[in-house]
Amino acid sequence: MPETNNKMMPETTGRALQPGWNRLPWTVLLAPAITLVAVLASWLTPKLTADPFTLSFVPTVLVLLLASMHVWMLLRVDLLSFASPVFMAIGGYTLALVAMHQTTNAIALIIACFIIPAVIALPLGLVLLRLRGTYFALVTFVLAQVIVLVITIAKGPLGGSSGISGIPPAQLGDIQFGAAGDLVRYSSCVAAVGALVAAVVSVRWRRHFAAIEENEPLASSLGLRPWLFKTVAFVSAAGIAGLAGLILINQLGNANPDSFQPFSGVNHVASAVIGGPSIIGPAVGALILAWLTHEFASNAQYSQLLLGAALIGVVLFARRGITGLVRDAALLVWRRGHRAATPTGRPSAASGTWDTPAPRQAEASGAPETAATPLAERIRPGSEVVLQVSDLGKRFGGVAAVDGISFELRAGDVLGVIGPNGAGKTTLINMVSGAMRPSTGTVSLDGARLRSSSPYSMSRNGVARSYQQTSVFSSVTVRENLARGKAFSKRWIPDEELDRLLQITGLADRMDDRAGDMPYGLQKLLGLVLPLATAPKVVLLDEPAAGLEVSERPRVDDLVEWAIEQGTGVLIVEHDMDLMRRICPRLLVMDTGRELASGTPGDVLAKPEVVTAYLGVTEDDDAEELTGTAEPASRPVEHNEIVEVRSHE
Amino acid sequence: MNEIIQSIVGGLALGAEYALMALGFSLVFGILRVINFAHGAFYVVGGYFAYWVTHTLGMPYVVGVVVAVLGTAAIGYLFELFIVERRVDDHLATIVLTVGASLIGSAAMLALFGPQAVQFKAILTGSLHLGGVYVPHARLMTIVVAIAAVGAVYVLLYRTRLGNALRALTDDREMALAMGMRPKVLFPAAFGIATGLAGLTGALVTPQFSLAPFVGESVLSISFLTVILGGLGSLSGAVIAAVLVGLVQSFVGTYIGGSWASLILFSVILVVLVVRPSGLLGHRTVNA
Repeated sequence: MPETNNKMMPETTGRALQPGWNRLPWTVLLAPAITLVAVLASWLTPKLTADPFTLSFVPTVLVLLLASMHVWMLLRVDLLSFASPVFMAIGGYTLALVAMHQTTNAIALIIACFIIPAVIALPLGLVLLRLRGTYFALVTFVLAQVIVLVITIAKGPLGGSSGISGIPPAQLGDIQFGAAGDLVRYSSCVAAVGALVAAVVSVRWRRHFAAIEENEPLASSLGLRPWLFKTVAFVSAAGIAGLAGLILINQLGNANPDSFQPFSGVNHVASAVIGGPSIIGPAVGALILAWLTHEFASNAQYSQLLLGAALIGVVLFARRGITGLVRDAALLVWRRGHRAATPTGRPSAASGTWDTPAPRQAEASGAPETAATPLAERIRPGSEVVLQVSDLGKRFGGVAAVDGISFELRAGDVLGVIGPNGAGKTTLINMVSGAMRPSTGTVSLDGARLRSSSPYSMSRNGVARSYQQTSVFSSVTVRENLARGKAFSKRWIPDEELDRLLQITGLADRMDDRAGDMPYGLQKLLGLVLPLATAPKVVLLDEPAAGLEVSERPRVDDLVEWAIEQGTGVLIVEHDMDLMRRICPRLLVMDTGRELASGTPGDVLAKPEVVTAYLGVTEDDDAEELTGTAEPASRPVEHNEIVEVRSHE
Repeated sequence: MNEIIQSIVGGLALGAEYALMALGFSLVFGILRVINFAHGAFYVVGGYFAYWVTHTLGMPYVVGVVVAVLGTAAIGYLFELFIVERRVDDHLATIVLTVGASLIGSAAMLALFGPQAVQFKAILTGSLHLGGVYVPHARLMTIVVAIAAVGAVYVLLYRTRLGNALRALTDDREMALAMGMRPKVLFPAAFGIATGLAGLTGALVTPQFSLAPFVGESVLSISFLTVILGGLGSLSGAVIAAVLVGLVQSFVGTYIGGSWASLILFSVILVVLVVRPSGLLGHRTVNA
C-alpha cells in the first residue's frame, strides 16, 4: 500500500495526487457482492427457491435492478434516459431470435444479449449524445415509442404485436434454466454480470463521470473528451438493459411488445432517482419498486401514488436519494460519537505538514532584487513564434466585435491586452482558444493553422485558458481537482512542478479543503493552476486578477513567471494596470474591436487616444497624469484606481 | 376525390385537436424551460372533472368545461408554486418532478374512477354534411375552440403586460429579476394557464376519443411530437406542426394504415431532434 509510505514522506505531491482508494466508497463492490450472495444462497436453500413467490419475485427484482442501473449509469454523466425499454426490448428479442434459431447455450445468450444492444447503442449514441439535458431525455422517450412501433410493424422476423412464443429456455449442459431454482440462479448470474459491468465502468472512470456531471466545460478544457465517456456510459448502460431483457424474456418464455411498454422507462427512472447516486442505489430503488408493485398488486393506483410522491419528495428533500439519506444519518450518528475527537469527521486542513508562508512575503524579505526588477524587464522570449494571429476579425450581424487584430507571441513571452469593456478582448480570446469561429483571419499554433475546434483538442494541442469567473470542481477537494486534471490531461506537469504551483498560490495547505468552501481568491487561483498545469504552449488568461484581493494579486505575477519559465506564451487580458505594467513587456490596446496602439506599456499608455478610450475624457491634464503612471515611482495611486473602477462597471 | 377531401378535413380537425393539446405544453417549455411530463395527466384530470360535473352532478356540459379549466389551472398553479419552483433551474429535476406528478394524477383518477374507460357522452351530436364530406359537430366545435385558444394565448403573450413580463423572464431571467419581476408570481401563473389549457382540451376532446386514467400517455406523446417538430417553445411552430401531424396521420391512416403513421412521425421527430434540435420552425437560440 502506497499510503503507508506517506507518513515518512515530506510534502511531495506524490501524496497530493494519491488517488486514494480509501476515499473510494467501499460500497462500489456491494451490488455485485449482494447478487453473488443471492446466487449462492439460492443454491444453498432449495426450499426457498421452490417457493412460487420467490420464483416470480426474484427475476422481477433483478429485471428492475438492471433497468434501473441503465438509468443510474447515464445519470452519472448527467443524462436522463427513458430508453431502458428500448434496450431491454433489443436484448429480449435478441434472446428470442438467438434461442430459436442459433443456440440456447446460457453463456452465449448472456454475451449476445449484452453485446447486441451495446453495438446498436454505439451509432445511436454517436448521434444522440450530441444533445444534452432536456433534449436527450426527450429523444430517449421518443425512442421508447419508436421501438414498440418497429416491433409491431416487423411482423415477419419479430412476430408483430403477437410476438414470438415458445422460446426454449437457456441451457448449460443438462441444466435447463427455465423454471424453479435454476431460473432464479441463472437470473441472478445474469444480474451479477450486469452489476459487475456497471461497477467496473463506474469505478474505472469515476473521475471522468463525476467531472462531466459537475462541470463539463472545465473537464473538457483540461483535455477530457466528454462524448467519449458519455458513449462509454451509454453503450455499457445499453448492454446492461439488454441483460434485463434477457432475464425478463427467459422467464416469460415469449417475447411480446407489451413487455416493453414505453412508459415502463418512467418506473426505472423513478427507481434510480429514489435509490440515489450510490452504486447500491439502483438495488435499493429496485427493491422498493418491486415491493410496492407486489404489495399493491391488486391496487396499482396506490403503488403509483406512493411512487409519484416518493419521486417528488426525493427531488425536493433528498437529492442523493435513499442511500444518501442513510449515509447522512450514519455520518450524523458517527460524528456525534466522535465529536470530541475530530469535530469535522475529516482531517482538517491544518493537519498537513505544508510549510507555506505566502511566497511573496518570503520573496520580499529574501530576494529583494526580484521586487526591484519587474518581471516585464526580465522576460527573455525564445525565438520561436508559438502563436501567430493575423488579421483576426469577428462580426456579430453588422457589429464588428473584433476587426483586423494581428500579433505574434513567442515562447516564454507575455502579451497584455487592455481596452475598455466591450472592446472585444474576450471575443479575441474566444477565437484564439477555438471556442468561436473567426469571421476573417487566421490563428496559427507552431505554424499550423488552428481551426475552431473542441476545447479538449485545444487542450491536447497545448492551448489552455482560464475564465473570468471561477471554474473549479467545487464539490470536491483541491487534491481531487488536481487528480482529475492529471487524469484528463495528456500534458500534465510533473509532481515537483505542481508542487511549486501549489506553493506559489498558497493552495498547498488547503489540499483537503473542498474547493467550493474556499474563499473566492483561492478558488480563482485554483482555476488558474488547473490550466497552467496542463503545460500549455500558449495560455490565455482572461482577467486572472479580477476578484482577487490586492494582497493575492502578486500570486498572479508568480504564476505568470512560472509559466514563462516553462516556455509558455502568455496572452493576458486584465484591467489591473499595476499588474500589467509589472508583467507585460508589450501591451496591445483594443477599442471597439480594433487595435488602438501597441508597444511597451510606457509608450502605449502615454498615447492620448489610449487615455481617451480608457477614461472617456480628453482633457490634457488627465492625459498627462496617466502618462505619468508609466513611471511607477511617480505614479499617483488614485488614477490606477480610477481605471480599475471604470473597467468593472 | 371525396376521399382526399375527407382526409384533408379529418387531418385539419385532428390537427386542431393536437394543437390544443400541445399549446399548454409548448407554453410551459417556452416560459419556464420545463418539460411538463404531467401534461397528459392534466388532460385526463380535466376530462374527469368535466365528466364528474356533467354525469355525476348532472350539471350542463358548459359548467363541466369551466370546472375542468379552473380545477386543472388551480392544481397546476399550486404544483408550480410549491414544488416545481424550488427546482426550476434544474432541467433533470423538473422532469422527474413532473413525472412524479403524472404518476400521482393518473393514479388518483384510477383510484376515483376505476381502470375502465367511462362513458362520457358527447353533448354535440350529428355532423355537418358538405358535398360528400362529413364533419361531426363536436369536431367543428373543437376546431373553433382551438383557434380561439391559440388566439387568446397569442394575445396574452404579445399584447398584455403579463405576457411581456413572461417573455422577458424567458429571454433573460437574471435581467428580468433585476428589474423587479417576480417569478414566484409569474411562473405559477404561466403554469396554471398551461395546465388549464390541458384541462380544457381534456374536457372538450375526451368525449370524442375516450376517457380512462391512462389516455394521457398518448396525449403526452402527441404533445412531444408537435412541440419538437415545431420547435420547443415556439407557439406558432407548435400549431403548424400540429396541423402537419394531423394531416400526416389522416392521410397515412387512410392510404397505408396501421402503425405506419406513428412510426413515420416518430422517425421524423428523431431526425429533426438530432439534425435541428430547435425544431423545424424554432429559433436557433433555443438551448436547453
